[in-house]
Formats: sequence, C-alpha cells, structure tokens
Amino acid sequence: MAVTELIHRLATAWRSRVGTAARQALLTALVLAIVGGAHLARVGTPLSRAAAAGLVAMVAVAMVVRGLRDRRTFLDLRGTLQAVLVPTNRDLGERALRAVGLLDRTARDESSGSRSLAQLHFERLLARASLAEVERAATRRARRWQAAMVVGLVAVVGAFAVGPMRVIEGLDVLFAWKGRAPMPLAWLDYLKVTAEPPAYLKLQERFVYPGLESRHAAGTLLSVRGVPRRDGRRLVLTDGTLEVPFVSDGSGAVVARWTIAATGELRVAARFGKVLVYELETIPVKAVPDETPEVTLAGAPKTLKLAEVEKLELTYEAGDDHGLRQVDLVMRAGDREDRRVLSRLDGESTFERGSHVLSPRDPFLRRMYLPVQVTVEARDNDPITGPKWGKSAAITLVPPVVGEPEAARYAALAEARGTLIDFLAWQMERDGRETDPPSRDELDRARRAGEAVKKAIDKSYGGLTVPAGLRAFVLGQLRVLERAPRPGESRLRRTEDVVLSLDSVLRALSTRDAQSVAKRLADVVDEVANGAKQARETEQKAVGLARLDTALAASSDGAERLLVLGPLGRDLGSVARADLGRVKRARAADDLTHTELAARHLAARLRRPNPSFGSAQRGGVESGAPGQNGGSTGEPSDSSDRFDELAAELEKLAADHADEIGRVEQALAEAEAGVDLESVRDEAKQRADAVRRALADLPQFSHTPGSARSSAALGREHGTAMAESLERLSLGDAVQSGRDAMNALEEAKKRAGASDLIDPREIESAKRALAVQLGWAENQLSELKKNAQAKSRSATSTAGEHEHELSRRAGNLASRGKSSDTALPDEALESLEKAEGLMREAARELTDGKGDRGLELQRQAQRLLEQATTGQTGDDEEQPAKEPQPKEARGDRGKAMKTGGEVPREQDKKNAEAFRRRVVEGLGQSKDGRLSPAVKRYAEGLLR
Amino acid sequence: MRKLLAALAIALGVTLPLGSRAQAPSRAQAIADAVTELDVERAKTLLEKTDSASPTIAFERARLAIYLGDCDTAAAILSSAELTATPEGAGLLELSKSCARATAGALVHDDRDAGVLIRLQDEADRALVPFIVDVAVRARKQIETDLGTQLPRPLRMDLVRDLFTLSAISGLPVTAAETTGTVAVARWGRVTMISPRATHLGYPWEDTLAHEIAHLALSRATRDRAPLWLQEGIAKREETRWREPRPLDGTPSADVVARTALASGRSVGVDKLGPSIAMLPTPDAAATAFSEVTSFVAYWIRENGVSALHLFFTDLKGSGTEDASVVLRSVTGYDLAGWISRWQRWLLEQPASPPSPSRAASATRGDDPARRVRLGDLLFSRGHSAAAVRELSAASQALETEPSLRFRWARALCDAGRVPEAREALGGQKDVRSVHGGWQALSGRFRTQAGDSPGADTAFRLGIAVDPLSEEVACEGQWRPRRPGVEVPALPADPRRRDLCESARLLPLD
Repeated sequence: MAVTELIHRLATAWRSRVGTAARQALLTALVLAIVGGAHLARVGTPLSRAAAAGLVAMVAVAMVVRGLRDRRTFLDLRGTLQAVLVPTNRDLGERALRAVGLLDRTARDESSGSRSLAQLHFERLLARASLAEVERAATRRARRWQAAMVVGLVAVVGAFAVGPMRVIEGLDVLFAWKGRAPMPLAWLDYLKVTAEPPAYLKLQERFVYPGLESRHAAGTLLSVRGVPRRDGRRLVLTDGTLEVPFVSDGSGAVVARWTIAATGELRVAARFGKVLVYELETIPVKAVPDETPEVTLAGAPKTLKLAEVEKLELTYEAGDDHGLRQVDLVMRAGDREDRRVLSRLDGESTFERGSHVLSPRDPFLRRMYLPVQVTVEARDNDPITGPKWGKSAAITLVPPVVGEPEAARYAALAEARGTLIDFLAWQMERDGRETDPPSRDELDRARRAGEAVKKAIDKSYGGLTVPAGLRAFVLGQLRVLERAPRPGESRLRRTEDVVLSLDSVLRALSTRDAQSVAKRLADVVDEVANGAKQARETEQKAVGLARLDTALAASSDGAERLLVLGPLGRDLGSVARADLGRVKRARAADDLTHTELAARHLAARLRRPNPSFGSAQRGGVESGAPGQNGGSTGEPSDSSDRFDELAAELEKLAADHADEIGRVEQALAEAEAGVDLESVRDEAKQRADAVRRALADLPQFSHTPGSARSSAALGREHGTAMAESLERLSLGDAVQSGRDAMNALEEAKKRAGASDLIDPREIESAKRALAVQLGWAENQLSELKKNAQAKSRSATSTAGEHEHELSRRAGNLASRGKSSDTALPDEALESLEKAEGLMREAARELTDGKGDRGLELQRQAQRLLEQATTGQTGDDEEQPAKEPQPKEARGDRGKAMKTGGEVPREQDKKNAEAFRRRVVEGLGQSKDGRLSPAVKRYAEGLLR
Repeated sequence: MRKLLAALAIALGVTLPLGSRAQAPSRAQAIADAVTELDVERAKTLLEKTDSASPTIAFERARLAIYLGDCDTAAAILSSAELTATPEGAGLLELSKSCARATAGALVHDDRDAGVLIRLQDEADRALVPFIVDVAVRARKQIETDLGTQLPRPLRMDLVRDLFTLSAISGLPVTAAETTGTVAVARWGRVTMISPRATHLGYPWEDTLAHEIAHLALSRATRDRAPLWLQEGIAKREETRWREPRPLDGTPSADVVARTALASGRSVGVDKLGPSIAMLPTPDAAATAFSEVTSFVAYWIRENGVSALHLFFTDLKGSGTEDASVVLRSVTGYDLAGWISRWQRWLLEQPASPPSPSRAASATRGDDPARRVRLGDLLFSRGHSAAAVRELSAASQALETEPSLRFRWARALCDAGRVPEAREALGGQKDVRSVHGGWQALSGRFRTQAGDSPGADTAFRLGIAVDPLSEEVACEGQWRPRRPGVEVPALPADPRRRDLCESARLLPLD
C-alpha cells in the first residue's frame, strides 16, 4: 500500500466519524441560537435585537470557520498527521512528524542526508500506524460531538415549548425595519368596530366594517373590540403615528377608543418594545371635518358712501353642515371692531336667514373716519376643534368726513331760512302796498318758501335727519305762515316771527351740532396722538405713521366741516385749524413727541366744546375795558322756548292720561276678580274637553307657511289655548282665543284645496263645535262684565271726573297749539283735537258707569295723544325718544301684558326701528324655544 | 415764592445729603430771586456754577425752564420722584405738562431788534405780530420809565387761541378764567394773551398788553412782593400811558365807579381782592375791583409823587417782608389802612356823578333792538341791504349811542349804495358810547373818501386796537359782498393791513 493511500485512508476514517458529528452539533447550535435569539429579540429594544442577531451570526461564523479549517488541515500532510495520528498514537504521530521534517530538509539540502533514506524512514514509521486504532479514536471524538448536539436539541425543544408563537413574534421583531415588523400577525378574534358621532351632531352609533373605508364626522369616537388570540401582548390601535392601548372590557375582550381627527388607516397592532407588529386587516376611515359656516350678505361685496345711505338693509343667510350657534354683525375700521349679536341659536339649526337695518347714524359709524367693513359672521357649534366663524363678503362703508352730515344739514336749513328771508325782504319791499286778502303772488311765494323749508327738514343728510321736536316746531311755524291772516294781523310781522323762530332753533341746533362734532373730532385727533405715540415708542413705526397721517387728514377735513356749523362751530373749527397747524408743523419736522403733545391738547380742547372765550361776551378782566354787548341783548325770538313748554306739557298730559287709564283698568280688573265664577267651573271644564275633542282631528303643525294646513294647525293651537283658559275660568282669554281659533279655521277653510291633504269637512265640523263653546263663553263673559261694571261704578265715576279734567287740559293745549308762537303741526294739532273729543266722550261713559266703553275710548284718546306728542326743539336726534310706557293691561286677557302701543308712522324711522326691535324681542320670547327663531323670522318678514 | 421755597426745602431737607444742605438753600434762594426778577441770564449762570443735585435746585432749574418757555425741559426735570412727591413739585409738573402740550409745534417769532419774542398758537395770527411788537416796544419803554426798572430782553409772550390754552400755559383755572372773562395773564415771566379773534367784537388788546407788561415790570421791580392792589393799580395806570389819548379813555371814570361802589356798599375793597382779580366771582366784581385799585393808586401817586413810588418799590424788594403795609408806613408814614381810609374820605368828598343820561330810548316790543338787529343781520347776510337798512335803522334809533348798531346800519346803507346816508347813520365819535372796531373802520373809510388821511389812519388804528381780525376792521371798512356776482373789494394798500385783511378773510362768512 502506498504511503499516500494509507494517509488518505486514515484521514477518511477520521473525518467520516468526527466531521459529521461536529457538523450536526454545530447545526443544532445554530438552531438554538435562532430560537434563543427570537426570544431575546421579542423584547423589542434595539439592544436586545442586536444581541439576538449577534448570537445567530456568531454560531454561523463558527460553522464556516470550522469547515474551512478542516479543509485546509486535510490538504496538508503535516496537518493530517497532526489531526489524525497525534490524537490516536501520540508517540508515533510525533515521530512521523519529525520524519516528515527530515524528509523536507533532505529535499531542500542534499548535504543534510539521503532523501531516499528519509523517505524510507517515514514510510516505515507510517506503516506502523493502525487504521483500526484511528477508527477507534475517531469514534470517541465523534461521541463527544453527538453529546453536545443532544444537549442543543433539548434546549431548542425547550425554547419552542415555552411558546412557539413567541419565537415567530421574536423573529418578526428581529427582522423589523423602522419599528415595523415585516410579517403581520393576527391579534384579535371577533373584531367589532363601532362609530359614535360627536354628541353635538345628535346622530346614532353605527357599525364599521374593517377593511372597508368608512366616512365619519371629525370627532367621531371609534370603538374597536375583540378577543385577544394570545395573552400577554400589549395591543394597541394605531394610525401609524398615534396609538391607543387596548384595555380589558371586563368580559374577556379588549377595547380601544379612537377619536377620529383625520383621514387614515387604523390598525390593531402589538407593541414589542420599539417595534409594532400589525394585524393583517386595516380599518380605513375618512374624517369629514366640520365645515366653517357659510355666510352670504346680499349685495356684498360692494362699497357705499355712508353719506349717501339713508339706511343699510343687511339681508343675510348663514348655513352650516351641522348647526349654528350665533350670528353677529361685525363692523371693522382700522384696528377698531364692533360686534353685535344678531341672533343666538340652539346649535341645531343649520340655516339662518335674517335682516338687519343699520343706520348711518349708528354710534359706531358716526365715530369712524376710516372705511368700515361690514360683515355678517356666523359661528358653528363645533366643540371638537372649537367654534369656527364663517364670514360673509364685506360691504364697505366709506364714512363721511367727521361733521359732514351736520354741515350739510346746517347748510340746507340755513338755505331754507334764506328762502324765508328772501320772502320777508319781498314783503318788506311791498310794505304799505299790502293787499287784503293777500295776492296770489304773495301766496305763491309763501308756499314756495314753505316748501323749501319742508324739503330741507324732510331730507336726510347722510342718514342725519332733523330731530322730531325741531321738525314739529318748524312745521308749526310753516302752518302759521301759510294760514289765512287773522283780522288786524300784520303779515309782515308774522313772517318776521317765523324767520326769527327758525333762525333761533337753527342757531341752537348748530351749537349742539358743533359740540357733538367737536367731541367726535376729538376722538380722531386722539388717534393722531396715538399714531404718533405708536410710531415713537414701538417698533411699528410705519404702522404708527400711517395711522397718524390718516387720522391727521381726517382731522383736517373734520375741522373744515366744523367751521361752517354756526358761530360756535366757526370758533371751534378755527381753534382746531390752529392746533392742527401745530400738529402738522411738528409732523413735518418728524418731531413725533410734539406731534403727540399738540394733538393731545387739541383733543382735550375739543372735548370741552365751549366757546374760546367761555360765556363772557367780551374781555373784562386784565383788559381794562368794560364788557360790550354789541347791542344784541337777549334772544330775538323766544318762540322755541314757548313751543318747548307746550311740548313738555303735552308729554305730561299723555303720561297723566296713561296713568288714568291704568287706574281705570285696575278698577275694572278688581271688580271682575270680585265676581264669583265657581258655579260654572264644572261646566267650563266639560266645555274645555269638548273643545279639545272637536279639534283632535286637525293637524298639529305644518311645514308650509300660508297653507290651509298651517291655518288649521294655528286654529287648533288657539282652540287649545281657549280650552285651557276655560279651565282656569279666564273667560276673557277664552273668548279671545276662541275668536282667534274661529278666524284661523275660517282661513283654513278658504285655503283648503286638493293638494293640502286636509278635509274641509273636518274643518267645518271643528268650527261648528267651537262656535257653540265660544257662544257659551261669550255669554258668560258678558254676564261677568255686567256684574263687574255694577261693582266698579263708584271708581269709574271718579275716573270720569279725572278724565274730564284731562280733556280740558287737552283742549287748552290744542288752543295754544294754534297760536303763532307755539304753533303745532297740522297732524299733531288734529290728533290733539280728536283726542280731546274722545276724552270728553270717555269721561261721560265713565261717569255713567260704562267702564269698558270708557276704557276703550280712553285708549283711543291715548293713542292720539301720543301721536300728538312732538318732542322738544332741543331733543337730540341721537337720543332715544321718550317712548310712552304703556300700562299693564289687566282687562279682558287677565294677565299682565303691555298694550296701547302705536305702530310708528313711516317717517318716524327711529321709532319704527325701536318698535321693530320690541316686536321681534317680544315674539322671540316665546315659551317654546324651539319655535322662537321661526317666530322671529316671521316677525322680520312682517316688518319688512 | 419764598414761602414755597421754604416749604419745599423743609419737605425735601430730610432727604438731602448733609454736605449739600448747607449751601443749597442760600444758593437756591439766589436762583429763585433771579428767576422771579426775570433775570434769567443770572439764574442760568448761578445754576451753571452749582453742581448740587438737591431737589430744591432741580425745582429752580425747572422753574427757570418754564420762564424761558421750555416746558418740555421743565416737565422732564420735574418728573423725578423726589419732586413729584411734594405738592409744589407735582403742581408745577402738571403745569409743565399742560404747557408742553399747549405750546408743542407752536410758531415762534423772535424779533431780536425789538427784543420781543412771540409764540403763536394760531399761525393765522401771524399778521397781527407786527402790531403786537410795536405796542410791546412802546409800552415797555414807557413802563420802564414810569416804574424805574429795566425789563430784560426779550420780552416773552404767548398769543393763544382760547381760554383753555391760556389756562394750560398759565395755570389759571379755566373755569375762573371763563367766569371773569380773563384775556391775559402775566405769569412765569411772560405775557400770555388771548388772540383778539377769540372774542366776539375783539377786545382792547393793546392796552391789555401794556397792562400785562406793567405786571412783569412790577414783579421785577419788587421781586414779586407787590400786593395785589398795587399790582393791578399800577398795571391799570400803565395801560394807556404808553400812547396818545384816545376817545373814551377813562370812561367810565375809575373814581366815579369806585365812589359809586363805596356809596352803594358794592365795594370789593382794595385790600380784599383775594388771590387774583381774575378769580373774583363775577365780571362786575372784577370791574369794580379794577376801578377801586386804579383810583386808589392814582390817588396815592398824586399824594406822594412818582419818586415815592420808586422808593416804595425799592423798599418792598429789599425789605424782606411780605407785608406791604409796613413798607408803606416806612415810606409815607401811613400804613395801608390809613391810606385806604384817606382815599375813601377823598372819594366821598367828590361830587356824586349825575345819573348817566340814558341815551337809549326805551324800546317798545315792536322796536325790540335785538329782534331788529337779528332781522337786519339776516337780511344783510342774504344781500337784501335795503330791507336790512329798515330793520337796523329802527334798532339804531332805539339804542342810538350803540356803535355796533350804527355800524351795522351804515354798512347796510353802504351796501345799498346810499353812502351819504351811511355817513350820517354812522355819526361822529361823540355820538357813540364805546369804541367799536367796525364803527372805527367804517369811519376811517369815510374819512379816506373825504380825503382826511390822518383822520382815517387814526380811525383804522383805533379799530385795530380793538378788533383787528374782524373783516371790516382788517380790510379798512370793506367787506365781502353777500350778494352773488359782486366783486370782492381789493385788499388794503398798507402791507401790514393787507396781511391782516387776508387773515380775516380766511374764515367763512356766517
């Protein structure tokens, strides 16, 4: 056997035994490393995952290294002898290694010895090696490897036995990338998802199918329930960014609640440290955000000059996807804002329509000198992201220069006065040639002059009108001018009186206007100062300077308007001009400190709008000269004072008369309350039930205003009110409600048509039944009143005497109202005279014990008295008119309610607006809050 | 001022460092005296030499700034916590602030040749400046001679537009000024005077200016120790001495008014004037008080001579006492009560003045002058001159000595082209009871037309002395026509009056 073959056989015997066993053991170690590493990686922290990966890699590297080493060992003779022969027979193995060394030396250096002898020596040594001995040694070594493999296998089995899914989860976590495991796993069984919309939407909870996209209002609460497949996992619900943990629901399942804020995909996942392992199935949701309310303002956007606007009607519509809370009127000018609530809503209404009338005399607008942006803004009811305001396009109001309306009014009235002066001059030229009666030419001239004055007092000047009291006074004077002259009366003198009267009130008006304009101009001048301060003291210099320059230009314009407002205006305007000169000088020098100081001085001065020289006519002290009066002592006409006295007496008469009405009402109410109605209580109750039965088939409500169905519903409502009043034995109310119900049913009958889904026969039947009960109630009420009248005879008789005295006062005032100095306008005089007649009649009726009739006449007279009330010449247009305070009525309806109000005349815009507000507020206070917005809209419609 | 300084020193003394306590009061007193005597240059020098940080010195520094018209600096100095903690400091701070607001951006005219510095609130009053300077220079010269003292240059003056500003600059309560009709104040080393455009029909601003300059001179001559009766008596005396006599000067006579007041029990009392005549309750009381002090001082000077007056001033300044009565006794042998008693005896010895003839006929209701005047004005304003003449002639005949009515009547006649009748309606100086600017201007116009240039010039000047910024006065008896289509009269040839006329025409017509 050759040496080479022998060595090969020895090596093969060794490797076939030891190599296989070693590979199996190492493979087992690798599996063990993977399983153990999975458990370690499941912790989820970067460190644990790195350790697990390191462990597996280390075992794999060991296997490769060992394979390479074996390969190299058995390719080398020395390595083979070292690996195989030395472990088998140490002595022989070492000797063989030395022989190989000798062999190598003789091959390199022949002087070292004979190569043949060395070869022979080696072969003889190797021949002594026993194959069987090598096989035994190899078998021993292989058994040790096999023992290690068994231990490894046991460990692997144990690791799986702890939880096979843990190994899978661990491996999943081990291979996670960017915190997300590559393989989804099932975590929950019986998955159930429900969506609960936000409470303010008042919608039902609904199911959501996982895997299918669903739409939800932002803020919807999504509840995800399921039974965990494996315990001990930290389950979460996540959209990839946020996560909500699942918690036990106490019945073996877990639940997570998610508030939807944005569109996305929700997934159930288990969290392992920094790694999420997702569930396969997703829950895609689309968030529908609560929209900002949409508001439209009729006509917007547009720009209007405030001076050319008599009133600004703002008609708006506001809508929201879920509900509105509030609608505001917002006015902004520069950095000032004025916000007014137009309506407060319950948050359920998704649409609101309304209108509002804005007067150019509105205090906010009057103070402004910068363009004012008028918008309507609506707020929704979104509690999730907070209420949102929707804003309409703006109507831009360009305000007039401060004082421009007043200046225009003064100029117009002065020109009207001028036409009267022209007429006076014409009369004076003809003095001594007066014809009796007046010539047609004179009458025409008087009429033309009067018309010019009327035109001036009826006109609006940028929303500014002539105050009611002043207007009444002037109209009264014009009546005097145009009436036929009395015997012996000088027409020239009469015209003089009228001219002086008008002049007197015009001067008083100009003084009031000058004071008012000066105070408003003070605000603008203050703005100059504030602008200068802002530019000087803050970093917003450019903003401050712009503010300063704008206000300065407006101040200059305002000062020019002030100049034309009579003597005081000329004085104050001249002062303003002077001080604005100082302000401009400082501004031109970029001296903002002195700009501010000069402006502050002027603002303070304008807020004290007295004449420059106080009340003194001329310098007295320190001048060395006694005061001079210039020959103008006293007022040339005191007719306005006397007119004001008359107007004040008229107001007092109206107030006294209203008190008297109150006393009569109280006397009658007390008398009615004293009548015993217990005897009819049972019958009234039965009749109330009968009314309810008769109306039972009528509709309760209708969505279509103006339809037969809505009239029938209204009739039913009134009828129900009648029944309730009958049960309370409130006969007056019962009769009133019954009559209203009859009217409504009659209306319903007229409107009934094929499309109304209401049977006219039902209406007729209800009407007949109602009429019977109404007749009974009316009879009972009549009896009640008869009894009450008898009881109240003494009180009404006294009231009659008082009424007579009041009628005498009215007659006296009417008589004075015809006089030149205190002439009342035709309309007021007529009302006063009629009121006097009614009061006399009422006095007779009351004295005769006819309380109801007397009271009715008194109320009519009161309305006329209030119509005749003119106000005083000094009343400011801006002041709220002294609204008559109607007394509480305790009459037929038996409950406290304001009555006696009068619908204001068309030209009385201010009172009309106040009336509108009262009506709307009154109707808006309906007990049924749900209906109040509708009632308000109805009222708005009525008033339009 | 001494009391104020003493109070301030006591109030602040406790806080002063010991080193500065010794020198501050005496140095402060010297500075205070210099400021009070209007010697601002000396005060400045003294202040430059002191390095004391004492509040008293700071107070004086602020006071000097106010005297110099620099209210901003005064306000800045007085803003320190130490000064605002005292009533005097806080009060002066308020004044400084209001003064700074009232004078910010004002126009300053500094006539160095004349030694007059005028600060104008209203630029439109610039046209009046040359007239003011003239009067100031002449009045100052006369007063310096009369009182034996020299006023420092420049003479400072604020011409303000209204009482509100007068109050802000002077510290006089605005309500008091409004009640009594104060038109000027001499305070804080300068004259603060209201522009004649602020008052209806103007006021005799020239005499007023002289009056106030006299106050300043007296403050300097007596170190501000002159009692009120002396202040006002001397100022009244100096009102007219700087110029040639004018019609109606001394009408009504101060002696007559004082005698009447004394006899009727309405006398205010020379020694009972309170803190200021401007703070007396009514204009009538103020007028009586002025007459009394005028009469009293005139009597005193007649009895003692001008030299005694100068001696009196010198003693007051140097005596160190606030009681003028003591000084009066040392100079004349009688104290104040003695002199008042002597003066009253003299007054009562004078013949009672006959009741002034009522030159105004009693008016019936139909001829109510106020009614006629207003109707006349209204008709005139619409260009109906002929009709206006009718109304105004009736009013003028009812109150025939009233110059404003004669003026209106004549103006309407002129407007109606009836100039000869207008001359007659206007009448002569003897026909009117007071000086009225418009009347004088129209009179000047008529004199010009008659070729009497000196007479016309006198009339124009007299008009300007009263109501310089009314259109008729400023434009030499001419006015803008009320009727459309009529040409506006040309401006006066005299450059100064042309400027006045242009300024007067800046305001719109009523």
